[in-house]
Amino acid sequence: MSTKIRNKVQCDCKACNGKNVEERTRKRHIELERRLASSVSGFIPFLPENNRDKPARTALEIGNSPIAEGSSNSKKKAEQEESTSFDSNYESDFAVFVPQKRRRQDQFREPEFNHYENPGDDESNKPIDEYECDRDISSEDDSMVLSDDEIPVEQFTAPDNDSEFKYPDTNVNFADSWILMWIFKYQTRFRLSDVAIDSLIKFFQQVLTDADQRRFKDFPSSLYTASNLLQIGNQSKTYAVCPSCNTLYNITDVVAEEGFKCSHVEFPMKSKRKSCGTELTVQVPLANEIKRRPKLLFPLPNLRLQINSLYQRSEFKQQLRKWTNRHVDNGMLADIYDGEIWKNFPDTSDVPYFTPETADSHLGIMINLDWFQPFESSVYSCGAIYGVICNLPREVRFKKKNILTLGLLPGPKEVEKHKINHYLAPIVDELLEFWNGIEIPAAGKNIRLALICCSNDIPAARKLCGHISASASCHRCYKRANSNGNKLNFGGFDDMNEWFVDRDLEEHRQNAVGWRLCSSEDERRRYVSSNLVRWTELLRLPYFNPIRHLVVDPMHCLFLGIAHWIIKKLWIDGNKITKHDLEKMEQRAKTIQIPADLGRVPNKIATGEGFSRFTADQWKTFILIYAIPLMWDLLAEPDRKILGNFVRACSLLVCRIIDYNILNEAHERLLKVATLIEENYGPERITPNLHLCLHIADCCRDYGPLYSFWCFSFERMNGILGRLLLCRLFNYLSLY
Amino acid sequence: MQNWRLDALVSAQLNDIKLIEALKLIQPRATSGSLADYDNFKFAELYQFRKIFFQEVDDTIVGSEPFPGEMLTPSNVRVALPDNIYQILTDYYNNAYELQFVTIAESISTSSRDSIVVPNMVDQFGRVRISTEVFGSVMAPRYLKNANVLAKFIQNNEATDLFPGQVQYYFEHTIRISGELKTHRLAFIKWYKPAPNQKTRFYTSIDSNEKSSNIELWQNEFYDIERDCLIPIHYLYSRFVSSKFVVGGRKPISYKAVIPINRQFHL
Repeated sequence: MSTKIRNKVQCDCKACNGKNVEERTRKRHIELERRLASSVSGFIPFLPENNRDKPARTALEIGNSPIAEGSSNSKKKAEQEESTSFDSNYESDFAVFVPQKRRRQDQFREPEFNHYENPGDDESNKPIDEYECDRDISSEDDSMVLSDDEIPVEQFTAPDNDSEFKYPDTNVNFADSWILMWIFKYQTRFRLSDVAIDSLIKFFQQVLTDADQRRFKDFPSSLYTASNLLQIGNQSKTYAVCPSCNTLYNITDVVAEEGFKCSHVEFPMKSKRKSCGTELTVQVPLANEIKRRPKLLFPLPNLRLQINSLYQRSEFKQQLRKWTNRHVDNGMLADIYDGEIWKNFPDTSDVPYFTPETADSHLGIMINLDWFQPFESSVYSCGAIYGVICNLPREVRFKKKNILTLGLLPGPKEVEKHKINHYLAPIVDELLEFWNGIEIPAAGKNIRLALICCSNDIPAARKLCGHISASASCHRCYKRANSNGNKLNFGGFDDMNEWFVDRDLEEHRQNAVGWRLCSSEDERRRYVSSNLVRWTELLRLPYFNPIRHLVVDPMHCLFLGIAHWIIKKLWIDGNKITKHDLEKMEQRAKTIQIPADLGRVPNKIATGEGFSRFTADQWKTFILIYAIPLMWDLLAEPDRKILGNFVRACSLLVCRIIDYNILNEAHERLLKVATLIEENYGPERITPNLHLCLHIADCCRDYGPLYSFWCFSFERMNGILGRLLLCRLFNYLSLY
Repeated sequence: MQNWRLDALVSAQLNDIKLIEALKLIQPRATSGSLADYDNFKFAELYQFRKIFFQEVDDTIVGSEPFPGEMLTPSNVRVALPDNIYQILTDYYNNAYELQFVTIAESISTSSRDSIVVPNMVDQFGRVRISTEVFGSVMAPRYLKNANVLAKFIQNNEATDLFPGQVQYYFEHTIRISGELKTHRLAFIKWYKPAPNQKTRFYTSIDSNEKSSNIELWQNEFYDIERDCLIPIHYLYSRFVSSKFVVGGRKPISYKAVIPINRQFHL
């Protein structure tokens, strides 16, 4: 049957874009788009009625083939669909999203989805199991798949844990537990290794039993028994991960059978479904048996538990409310609360989400994803997703004890492009639940959580929000890289009015959904390079805007990006600054005395290629303080202008309190820098960073001064986490 | 990043005195750069303070207003001011209040009933912390780098301008004014002389726009000591870094480059 030659018809879906495909495929695509439309708010399906002349023509060509009926059928459905999807506000989206925990377990359609399909269609009321239906033979049935999980597109869902979540009991059945608690606190305070703590506990036991045999007979004799007693350690859900495609599995399932292979299908819409097939476990020889252990683990720290323990602090609620007591006016931006996003973040029914009345129950979090190398001598890079509660006042917001950990992505390499979705899926599930509100016992009420900002370096940002690489296109405006010459660049500022416009969110969502329809690696690649987006699980959050909520990080862009690039690539490599000049600069730098709290720049400017191993903070100090007195007379006229404008822009932006005038001037100066570089060095020298810095002013309008959203505040956490990993303080991450 | 379970356990047992006492042993030491100092201040107070150092208020600031910070060591308690500074201080009070102040010497000769005698005993301080920043002075040699400050002055032609200076010391002076004891916190500053012309002063400006220059050039000499040398610490605008800057090829003249540091003050 599969060898039979079929009539080809035109398919209007996003993936095929008018190509001729088999009738069966087209039908499946139509059906699929319809379904996606119901799961993604505002997705406009490219259905026959969107361009009416084409399907009419196809129907003529095929004549009275039975499939033509099918398409008119789906057309009817689609009309219905549009009426539901367009007036759908967030409320109706919830109907789709909320019950997924349960929904994923049973394959049958639930009553609340009734309004999504044609009640007159008998076929569509039949529940169909994705795995049982034989795609090669059934042409009618597979187009009638119904609920979310049966869409034949790549699924990024985490397996359900059967265990119901319980808040652990805080009563410890041991009178002198305060000693143990103190020891554990002592460990975290001084970052001691488990071995050290183990012997400390043993010593305590000896001392205490020596003092009072009867009273301390229950005192634990090792770290293991102590942590069991306090139930420390079972704080995160852990998944087994497929090392090649990053699909998540329950550990119990994986360990249960021998040689468990990954069953993830990347392109389920293909007739030949090929699963990943990577083995997930390794054999670990123990003393008298051989145990199976997952190769890779993904610890998912429990968000509820973290929020709950924050609310247990007595001063926490008061801190959350502190922002309501401030009244900043006349265009001044002093904190994230003065930005557009905080002021206008919409709730489900178009009322503001952040109000003084809900200050301690509606939380807004900002997340940061970053990869870092915990080990010095080996190449191993793991990622972490942090969350910061923006309701907290700035002085405590970035404190270690207030930072939430949403996930720890295992190594040994950074996750590739869209595969991060596997990790994001369970996090997004949790965030969706929190958007509806979760009862937190310590708070005594429903707590809601919204993701209001993503602050990342560029590569992580692209992965997180599903944008194409920064060297190909900007994620905030319609500027695309030019490819004149052999390098991509962002040159050309004359037609700025045309492209310096915010991207359309609906378009992004549609394109992202369209990406899921691609049925091969090649097709995906082509799709991304023409539509610039990939699917990201974050799109399942009904309120999330992957364009506006993804800020350009000023730390990476201005200091590690532009400052570094102008001085090293433009001037040192371009021989504007010679080795001799560098030595002169070093001499001068030594005479400048700066206050201790600013962080001195290393004395060795001239060593190596020049400015080797400068950190972001050192670049910041260099630009703000050293740059002009050191370099002014070494540079010629156009370069002086570039430097002057850039330094001025940076020193304006780095103010802790800014206003719209400052932002406008800084923006003008940055634009000047970019145009000057284009004039003097040619358009091929306009790097993505030089383009992205033009969006910093917009980000400030949305989120307040740089201090409230740049990555400096997060980078520190990586250092802390790295050291914890080194001394195995975390039993989180098993490294393979 | 910490053990959430452990935190939950600890906060559940906060009434256990033994645990609280023990946890105090491992409390991290508070650092001076901590933002937590803002806790004691209401937003309105901070906002008012910010307006003061931006010179956006119309009232005269006399130096006895509250400020978010404290005076720091080294300090000399109850020392007498030198005669010339004492005279300036009296002038300062005369300007600040619409009352008549006299020095002790003057009070003997004039014997006017209405005049207030200014005592010449002060508490001298080497440093002052305002919100998260520590301003130093010549009196505290280790903090000399923090002694360079900028302050805003309103000039005769109503324009405000920033002037660089070097703080010699800070002092607290208590005086009884209309029956009320008031403590004034003042800074004694020596001001630098400006460069001979605007072109030199804004040497590093671009497109001959004075605003575009981040740094300014000033001379390495001080003005003579006069009435302006005393200002309330509220008026300290920011610190600056100074560096040597040589202008001219054939006849090089070296100036002082004034590089302002952004104020670490937030609301």
